[in-house]
Order: sequence, then structure tokens, then C-alpha cells
Amino acid sequence: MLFSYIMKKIVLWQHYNKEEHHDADYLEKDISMSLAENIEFFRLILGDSNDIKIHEFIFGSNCEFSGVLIYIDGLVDNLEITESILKPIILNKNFEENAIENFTMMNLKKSIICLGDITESSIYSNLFEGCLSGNTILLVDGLSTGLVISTKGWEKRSVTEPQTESVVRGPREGFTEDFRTNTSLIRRRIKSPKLKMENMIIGRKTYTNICIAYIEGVAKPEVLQTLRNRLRAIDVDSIMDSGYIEQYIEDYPFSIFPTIGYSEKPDVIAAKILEGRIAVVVDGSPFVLTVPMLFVESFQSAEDYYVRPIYASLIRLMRFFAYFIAIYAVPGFIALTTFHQELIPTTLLFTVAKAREATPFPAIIEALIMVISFEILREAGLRLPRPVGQAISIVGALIMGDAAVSAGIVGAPMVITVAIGAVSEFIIPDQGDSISILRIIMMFLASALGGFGLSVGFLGVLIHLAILEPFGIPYFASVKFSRDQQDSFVRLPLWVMEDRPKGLSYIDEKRKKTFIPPNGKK
Amino acid sequence: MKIDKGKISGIQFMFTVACFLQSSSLLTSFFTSITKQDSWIVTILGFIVSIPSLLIYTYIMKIFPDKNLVEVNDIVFGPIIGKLFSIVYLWFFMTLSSLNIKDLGDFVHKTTMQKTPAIIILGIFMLLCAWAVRNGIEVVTRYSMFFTLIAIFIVISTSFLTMNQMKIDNFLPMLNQPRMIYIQGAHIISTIPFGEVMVFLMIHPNLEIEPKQRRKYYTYGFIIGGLTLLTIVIRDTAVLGNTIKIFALPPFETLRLISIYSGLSRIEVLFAVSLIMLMFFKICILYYVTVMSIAYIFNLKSFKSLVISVGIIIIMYSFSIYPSIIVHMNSASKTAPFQWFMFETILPFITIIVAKIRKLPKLKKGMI
Amino acid sequence: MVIKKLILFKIIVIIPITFILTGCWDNKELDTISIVTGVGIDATEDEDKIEFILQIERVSQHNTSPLEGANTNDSSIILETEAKGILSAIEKLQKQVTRDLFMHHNQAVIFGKEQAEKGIKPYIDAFLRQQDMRMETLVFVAEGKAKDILHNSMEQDSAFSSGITRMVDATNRYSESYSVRVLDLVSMIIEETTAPTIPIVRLEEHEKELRLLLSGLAIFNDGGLIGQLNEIETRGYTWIMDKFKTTFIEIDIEEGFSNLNISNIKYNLEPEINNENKLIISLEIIGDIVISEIQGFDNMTVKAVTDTLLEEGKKVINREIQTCFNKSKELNADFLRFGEEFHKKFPKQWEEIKNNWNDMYQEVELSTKIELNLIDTGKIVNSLNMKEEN
Repeated sequence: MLFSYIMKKIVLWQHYNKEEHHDADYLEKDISMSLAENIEFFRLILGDSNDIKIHEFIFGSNCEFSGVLIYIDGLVDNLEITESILKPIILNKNFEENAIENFTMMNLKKSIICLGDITESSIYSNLFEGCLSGNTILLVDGLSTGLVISTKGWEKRSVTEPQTESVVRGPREGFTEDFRTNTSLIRRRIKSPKLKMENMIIGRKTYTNICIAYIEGVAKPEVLQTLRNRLRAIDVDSIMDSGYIEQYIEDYPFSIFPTIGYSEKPDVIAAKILEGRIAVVVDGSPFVLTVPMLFVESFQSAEDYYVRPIYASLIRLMRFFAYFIAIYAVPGFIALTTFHQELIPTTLLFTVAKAREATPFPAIIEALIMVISFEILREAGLRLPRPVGQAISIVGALIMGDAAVSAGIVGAPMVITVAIGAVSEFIIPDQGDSISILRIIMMFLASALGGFGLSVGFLGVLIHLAILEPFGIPYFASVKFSRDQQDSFVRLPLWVMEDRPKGLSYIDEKRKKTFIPPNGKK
Repeated sequence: MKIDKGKISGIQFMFTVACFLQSSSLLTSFFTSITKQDSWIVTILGFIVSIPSLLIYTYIMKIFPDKNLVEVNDIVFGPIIGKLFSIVYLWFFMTLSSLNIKDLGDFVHKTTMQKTPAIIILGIFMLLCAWAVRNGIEVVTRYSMFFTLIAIFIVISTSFLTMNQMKIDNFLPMLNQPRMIYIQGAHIISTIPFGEVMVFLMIHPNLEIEPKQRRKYYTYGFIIGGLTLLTIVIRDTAVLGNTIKIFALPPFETLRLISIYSGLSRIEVLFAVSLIMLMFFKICILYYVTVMSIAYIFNLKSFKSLVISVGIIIIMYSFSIYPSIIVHMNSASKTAPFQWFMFETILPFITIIVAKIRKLPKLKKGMI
Repeated sequence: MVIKKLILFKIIVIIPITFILTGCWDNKELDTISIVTGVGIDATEDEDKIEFILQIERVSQHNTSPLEGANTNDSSIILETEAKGILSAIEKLQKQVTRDLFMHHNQAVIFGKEQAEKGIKPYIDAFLRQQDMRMETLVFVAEGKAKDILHNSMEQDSAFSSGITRMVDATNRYSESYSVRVLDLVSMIIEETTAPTIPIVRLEEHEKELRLLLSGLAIFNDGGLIGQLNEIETRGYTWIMDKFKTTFIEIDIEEGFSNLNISNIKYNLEPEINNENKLIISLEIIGDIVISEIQGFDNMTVKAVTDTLLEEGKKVINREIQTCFNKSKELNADFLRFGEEFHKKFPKQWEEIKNNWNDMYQEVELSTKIELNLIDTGKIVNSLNMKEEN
């Protein structure tokens, strides 16, 4: 079958990749003592790209040393290089006697260069990596080590309000494409020393920085270990966005349900880290991943925790209801009008029947026309610039909907049902893909087997959800652990939620020590 | 050696038992057609009567905390007679599965799908169950709480919605029928829904709780399920009155009568949906138990390869088990209770007696 | 891992294929069904056969235009046939229409008077047995032919059946006597001694226009229709069966005329068997009275008027009850369900009572006790022509 063919391909491909010769291997050698040789090597490897600057200079009391700075223009902060590297070195004339014999990079690092983040390395690969990620390389003639000085400074987007998860109440800052900014945004929210950030670099060509952030003692070690292993196993040349990482580490690539969460808001990520999840920050992406993701997470919005609990619970319930409506409105309508007309209230049945009378297609075709044109319209509105997008939605929603009804292609009740389903879908953006797919599956089930088909479909989805265990944590954990009910269908007051979610947290399970309401009355 | 390593927590087990009993709400007509307005008394009576059996089961669970029924048989009766007993039990489990799937098929056939061939409905449903069963007991029991709560919610809400049609008079005259009818009714109810909980003897080694606490959760689940059944019977009697005896599906008819405003009527679909859910759960458990007993009888290493074939056998069996619904109803209210009584009470009791005589649990402890 | 996913994939593929390829046996699109909204059963000349009438909601609009006036019976189609049984009739009618007859939304079953006299019991079975017949369908007996009633339309609801349902819903707000569902009918038939009652609908001419009217109840025994209750007797029936929620009592005496509204009715019916083996039913009714209208009662004090009104009110209710009770004795039909009361209260003596119920029913005594409390006089206290109280 097609599927087994694809699977075989994937397996073979992974196998092949492991065998392949590694790009960076020939860089794994020590640097030479001779400066000229080193420069030659750099020129050889980097080519004569005009953004690579190789700045040679001499320094020392009697200008006895010659050195070179290698950096990439645009990635570095030029002022910093001048002020903190070049100036101190060149202007320093107080080198000791017989400095040449005793001179080491340590001297430079410790007493001359006025920058904090300096690493010493004697392997080419480290130097290249540093150079290409915006650091400055300092090499001195006659020394077998080089310095990688952090002088990163490039143009970046400032922290702005994220477009995907806007809130009425709550913090408005969002992650940017800059790696450091993102980690700092997390660190600023959790000042505990237990917040650990592990770095790794993935991508044979892109050398993308990846950081795993978690709280020691809260995150489950087995989840952490699985995540590490999976990240380490990634062997591709490029990582463009956290979406790449997501696809490489998820357990169920063929499931319609997302098993890895993401967010653009530091407060959301911090809260998830505090619940025992592990965040994965990827350089160049404003979306930070969290693993493992649970089903209820799609229904929890950041604002739920910032507004008062009763309203938050109402909205939470509404979201579950909307999820249900989004999937079942159209299939339910099909099942009712083609199988179970007895369940429609009599007067409504007359109306629906009258509307149905004018249209030529069976209900399922009618629904498919509407659902597919809706998906097309949505996609069209999404990709276009905003003013045009609005025009599209007006054309689509108002004109096409109305015209389709008056032209007798679809009935008005069907348009209404599809519209309700579509609007409900927007309440739960995280589950958007599962909704769209399930809706179509359920439509076919409903048109073949009516209500029984819908029940079977519903049970099938439940079984599938029960089988999913991303990173060993049950996806539907809130059904399994009664404790997690405090934050699933309703959100209890914060002072009631003493414990972290059971499936996620490890040793440090308590959020707060004791159960004390704000007014102190027990 | 356990084939399925899935774990069930105490609360889940409790709801599993409850859910298992609730799914019998389809079958109330077995005794409501006999005991009429006194059905609720009979339900309570049946509940009380089945307490001793419950004690027997929990006792077996206690003395053999990590052995399922087939293994217990092997230990208690020796490998040959034990296997024989197990095969008899296997027949019982398989019959129960077929009967239940047949009930579901009949229900769907009668209420909505008159023209669709039964094999399609049962086949699809069995495929669904097979999918769940393949993934082990954890997946099967995962939604017990969810289903139970939905069923309870539906029962309570429909009781309120039919409040305006209830008449206390419908329970009168009380206790005015021949004594035999009560005994018969109580016997039916104690064997058909209540006694069937003995299938959990096949599942209990997967429980995550202490052997001592099993009785507690078992009983609680039993009570929840029993109360739901009782509520359903009381609701139906109060609404339908003396007509309850003529309906094949009293709860379904009751829900059909709901009509608060013209909009809030015709909500029998609630019953149908909850029933399909509950039946799915019950069939899954029975199916799982059947598969497991085969796996243990033949000492298989894995049960997964059995699932589909056993499913097919169950469907085929269900087609040939009764020629018509009348025979089914008759046997359910006349012969089946006696057959089931043997499996549900007498055989487990013999197991305990033999185990006691042979002083088995102690011996086992010594072996470890 | 790979194998596991393979199986998952297979399942995902197989299930839709099963659904799509197996076809859709029970799928019936809305434009393939005719929604039946009313059923009528009339007698024919042939003893064995019935005339079966179906009212179908017309859903296609091409024949109607809004200008034609609402009174034409355009919104529904009437089909008729003669047959021996209900199902065979439906089957016959099926050949006359282009679509499947869909019985689930049947609102009412109407028996013509002639047929009612011949008996209705045999035809109830089909309504119970068929899955597509619902138990909450209302049952009526037509004064005259069921066909005429189904042909007629109503002012606000053009089709008879939806109109009659609303009409019954409206009357239900004060009296439930007119709402007899198939379930209630069956329940009455099952009870050994009870004579079933079914509300009567009739057509009345109002300025050349026929209007529907609920008037009284039809009384049945095992054979068929044996009598009718007029307006007053129906009120009595409603009192005895505790089916009033609120009602007006009309008092028309020499001193004047008044309308009392009675509400918050408390009811107690107690069957007794006294020492002489005599059956007694004691009925107690307590209600709150609001004076709604007063004419006359000139020169009487408020106190005197209210006292008179209460007294007369009791008399009126008592009269209504007794008329009804007498009627039931006259017909010797226990439509008041007294037998069932004894059955429930005295299950032990019941066997004996049951066998001679026809004789014993004539001996049953009804004692009534009515208590009325005046709680309000409406917006005004005194009438325009009443004497001021000193």
C-alpha cells in the first residue's frame, strides 16, 4: 500500500542520513600557530563574500604582536568591536617584558578586552560557528588558540504585541525572532535558579540555536530525557522555524490532533513551564514550543487565568461547546435531515423541508460545497494583505452566501449551519486542523449512517484520543486524573488549585502549600 | 505473567463498574414487562439479592489479588479441570458479548435504521470495539467516568423534564401481584445486569489499588450503577404508568414523551446517544474479557492478534443466538437467569469452597 | 512503532471505505418524504373497512401565491383510501404520492363519529406497534366525519393538525381534559374498568365560515362510542379528574351575575369501602377565588355579596360534578376512573369488585366537599352599584 511505501521511504531515508559524511568534519582540527595560515584557511572556507571582514592589526608595546579580527558585517555591533576590543588592545602599551614568550590568550581575555562573553577555542569549527553566528574571532600570531568574542548586534524586531494571541487583559509582549530576547523574556518571568536552559545547535547548515527550558524538579525527567534524545537525533541541514522542530519530535505525525503546543506569549510559556512542561525556544521563530501538550490545553487561553474564575469557567465551557458545534453542526444537520427527520420540531421541519425543496443536490453534496468554499475563502482571506482580505470575506460571506441561496444551489438552513460551524472554529484556533478534518469525516459518516455513524465517529475520536500519549503523558489526562479537572471544563479559583497537573509534574507537585481562601476563612 | 500491563485506578474502576451497570438500562423491559408498577421494588430486591455474589467476587479478588479468573481456576482446580472451567466461563463471556451486541443491533435497527443490514451496523461497531480492545484495558476504561457522568446527567435531566407527566398514582397498587413474580423479577435483575459484574474477575489484576480497598470501590460502583437503574425504572413507571408493560423500550418511550415547549421535545436522541456510548463501553469490556480468557487459556504471549478474529466470532454467534426478538425476550426473562445464576454465583462459590479446602492462598504465599 | 501506525492507517482507510461503499440504506432526503401531519379514520359502508385519510404538509410552493388569501387550504394535501387495516391503507396511499409517507410528525388522530361508534380499539394497535408512530400524538373524535375536519383550515394555522395541537396547548393552560394522547388512551384502555374518553372536535358555522371547536368528550366502552359529555358535564369531569389548573365559575342568580376565577386548586379524592361493603368516593376541592366580574347585586354590602358568591360558587361546582357523575351512571361507564382508584387503594378487595363492577358502579356514592377562599377582588373592591359599607 501507499502508506507502507511512504513509511519504508522514511525509514530508509533516516538510515541513509546517519551514514552520510558530516559537513563540518573537516573543520574539526586545531588551528595553526601561523596567523597567515589561519587567515588563508578562513578565506578558503568562507570565500570572498563581501560581508566577511578580516581586519589585521598590530599591537603591543612595540607593536610586536600581529593579530586579526574576523567578523561578519551586519551581524556584529561595530561600535563594540571598536570600543571594547580594538581600542583596548591597540592602545595598551604596557605589555610586560619578554611578553612574547609568556603571552597567551588568557592575558587578552582577562585583562585587556572589555567584554563579558569570551570563549577560547583551538578548533576551527568552533571559530567558524562563532563567527557565523555573529561573534568576532580574534587570532594572534604565534598562538594556537583563538578567542570567540560575543559581539552580536544585528537589526531585530522589537518586542511587540503578538498578533495570534491578543488578549484584553494580561501582558501584551510577545516573542520575537531573536533567540536571546526570547530566552530573556522567559527568564524575566521565572527568576528561580531552578529554571534551567539547555542549549544545543541543530542543523548542519543553519546551525540553529535551540534551547530547552524547564524547571528542575517540576518537569518530569523521563519527558526531558525523551525530548533531549529526540532533539539530538535530528540530523537535517536546516531548521527554519519551530514548526520544523515540532515535526521532528512529535510522537504521532499522522494524528489529526496536535501533540506539541506553541505560543507566542512569554507569560503563557512561563505558565506552562511552571506546570511541568518543557519549552523549546528556536532561534529565528517567535513561536516557542511546549511539550507535552494535552488536549485541554487547546481550550485554555492565557486570559482565563487573568479574569475572575466564574466568567473564565463560563468561557471555558463555551469553548468546549464551540468545539463540539464546530465539528458536529454540519454533520448533525445532515444526519437530522436525511435520517432522523422525526427529531426536528415539526414547525422547523416544515421550514427546512421548504428550503430543501428548491435545491437539487443531496444534503451531503450541499454541505460539501459550502464547507469547501468556506475553507477556500478562509485561506484566501488569511494570506492576502489585510484590506484585500476583508474584501474577500465580504464577497465570500455576504455575496456568495446570499447568491447561492437565491440561485437555489444550497438551502438557507445549510448556509446557516455551515456558518455556525465555521464561526465556532475560530474560538479554538489550536484545534483548527483537527476540526476541519473531523468535520469532513463526520459529514461522510452522517450521510452514510446517520446518528449511529455520528456516535461511532465520536467514540472513534475518543478512542484515538485515549491512545495518544505524547512523551508518555496521556493526551486526555484530564479525563484520567480527577485532580486535573480543576482546570479543564471549568477553571477553579487560583487559590483552590493547589497542585500542578498530575500527569505533568514530578516531585514538586504543589503550587501552594495549603488551602487558604483569600479572606482567610476555611 | 501479565499480558496486558495497563493499570486502572480505584476511581476509574468504580466508574467502570457503574458504567457497566448503567448500560443495562436498555434491558429494563425484561423485568418491567413482568413486574409492572412494582419494578422499582424488584430493582431494590435484586440489588440486595446480588450482594452475596458481590461478596464472593470481592473475596476472590482479595485472596488472589493478582490472578485473573482463568489463572484462579488453574490454581484452584488444577490445570485440567481448571481449563475446563475456564472454557465454560469463556462460553459465558462470549455469549454475553454476543447478546449485548445483538441488543445494540436490535436497538439501532428498531429505532432508526430499519433498512440497513445488521451486519453493517454490528461490523462497524465491532471494529470500533476491536480498536479499543487492542489498545488494552487502559483505553477501554479511560472514559468510564466521562460516560457515567453523562449517563447520570441525562437520567437526572430527563427526570426533571418529565416531572410534569409523572403521577405518583402510577406506583399503586403496591405489592399486589403474586409472590412468584417478585422472586422472578428479582432473580432476573440480580442475574442479568447485576450479576454480570463478575466479568471484572478477569480484569482485577490490572487494578492499581490495594486488594483490601477493591471491595470498597467495587461496592461504590455497584451502588452508583444500581441507583441509576433504579432512577430510570422509577421515572419510567411514573411517566408511563400501566402502559410500561407493553413497551419493548420503556426508557426510549419515556424520553419520546418529553415535551416542555414544542421546541424542547423529541429528545429521545439523548437516550440513543448515551445508550450507544454505554453499550460501547459494556461490549468493549465483555469483548476484552473474552479475548483475555482465550489468551490465558491457551497461554498466549499477546492478545492483540486474537482481537479481530474473536470479534468476528462474536458477531457470527450473535446472528445465530436467537431467531427472533420474542425468543430473546422469553429466554431473557425465563431461562437465561438460571443459566447465568450458575456462572455468576454457583461456580465462583465452588471456587471459594475448593480454595478454602485446599488452603490455597496460603500455599501461594509460601511459594513466593 | 511503524507497524502500529500502519494498522491505524488501515483502520482510518477502511472505515470511510466501509461507510462510503456500503451505501445508505436508510438515507432519505427531505425532498423524498411527505410529512404526514394528521390522520383521520372514518367509517365506510362496508362493515370491515375504514376510510383512511392522511393530511400531508405541502412543502413545494409553486402552486401558492401570497395573494390568494390565507384561508384556502393550500398548505396541505388530503389523501383518502379505503382499507381494512391502517398499515394496508398507508400502503395504498403510498402509491398515490410521489414521496415516502413520513408518519413521525403526525400531530393528531381523528376518528369519525360513525367509526367511533363502531369501535376504535382495533385501530389503536397499529399506532402503538409502529416505530414511526409517536405516543404523544393527540386523539380526537369528530362530530361528523373526520374527513371534513381535516379538510377545514383554521384562521391562524392553515392546516388543521398544527392548529388543533396549538388549540389543545392553549386549553391545557387551564384544563387538561382535552389533551388525550395515544399513550393516555392506551393507559385508559388497559385499565380494566375505565371507559376511555376522547375529546370531540366539531365544525361550527360562523358567517359562512367553518370554525373548529373543541366541545365535550366522547365516552367509549369496549365496543365503541356510547355517549358524549356536554360542556357542563365536561367541566364536571375536569373537576373530578383534577384537570383544572384555573377556570372561571359563572354565577347567574336573581341578584346579579358574576364571574369568579378559581385557581390554586387543591384536590383530594379518597375511595372508601364502608362496613356495608358500599363504595364511597369522597372528593375534596379547595380553591382560591378572585372576583373577575360583577353585574347587579345592587344595594348589597360587599360582605353579603362575597358570601353569596362563595356559596353560589360551591353550588355551581357541585352541580357540575353531580351532573357529570349522574351521566356516568346513566351510561354505566366508569370514565371517571373510580374503579382504578379502588384498585389502587384496595388491591385485596379488587378482584371481587372487578367482576361485578358494572353492577357495583351504580351503587357508588360520591360525596363532595368544596371549599372556596376569597383572596382578591381584582383592581376594585366595590362594584359601581354596591352599597358602601358602614
